[in-house]
Amino acid sequence: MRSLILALSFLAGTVAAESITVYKSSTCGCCAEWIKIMESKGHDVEVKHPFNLQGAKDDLGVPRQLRSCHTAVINGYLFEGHIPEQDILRFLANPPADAKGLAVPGMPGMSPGMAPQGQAYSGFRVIGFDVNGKFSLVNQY
Amino acid sequence: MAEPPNPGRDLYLTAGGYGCGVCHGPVANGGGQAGGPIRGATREALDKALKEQPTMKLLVDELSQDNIADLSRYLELLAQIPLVELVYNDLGWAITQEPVTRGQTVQMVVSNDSFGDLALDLQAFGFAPATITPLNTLVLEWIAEAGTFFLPDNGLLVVPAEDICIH
Repeated sequence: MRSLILALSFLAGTVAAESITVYKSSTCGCCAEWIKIMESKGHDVEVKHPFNLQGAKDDLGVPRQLRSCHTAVINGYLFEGHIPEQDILRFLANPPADAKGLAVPGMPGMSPGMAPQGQAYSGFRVIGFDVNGKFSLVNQY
Repeated sequence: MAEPPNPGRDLYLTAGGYGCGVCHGPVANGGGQAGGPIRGATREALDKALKEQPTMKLLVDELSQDNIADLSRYLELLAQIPLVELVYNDLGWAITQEPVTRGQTVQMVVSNDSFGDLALDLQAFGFAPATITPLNTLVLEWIAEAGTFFLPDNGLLVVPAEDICIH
């Protein structure tokens, strides 16, 4: 019984963990910092370095105007750039109809993987995008 | 087109697979990103960044000496091109503009920071009307003509008819 409870609590503790594929350039350091943050939260990250990163983003369907350095794919949804983990989990818990993913465009200095460790995230928006090419404001830091 | 050919520009848009613009804006104007504006950055500054700045250091193996020279030439060329930046959001326009002289090539960077389409009448500048989709940026290269041009939100771009020479 005790081992069953332990097994259940282990499952409960990892229920939020996601299997993430990240497409990035081998020269990108801030992508690696973002990945470290996601791994530290218990997520499993597989990294890919496509020869043509922009071509890979085209194939995945990341809108040009929302692009950053890395693209993460989780459960078929796209997560572009330095998105805080909490926004990704909130999205995955209840993905809006027609949603394709989230993006933090560009390279905001105070976003996860960019901000000095321990400092509050600020000065950027989390944008939702859908299969119809519509954008929406999901969160603001 | 007004834009002079420059291999550094292509490199600027593609270096490292993501391009310099991700951190420094589409025309090295900063664009609110972490790297800030680098128009006019010297070769010395570029070499220093590639040697010392953590993100830039990772690019060293990607760039040949010729690549670095091309990039540096492009950035120095941009310093001679006045920049007019117009950012539109739901609160209105934010405009920054550098002084412009008649005949100069001017880069006008128009960003639509809102979630609706932005329709622009660009007739005064000799361009056809344009619609900028949400969160998109339009870069126009304009050969400045003399005149007074009204920009949104009481912005004013004045291009003098004659260069003023003081003897």
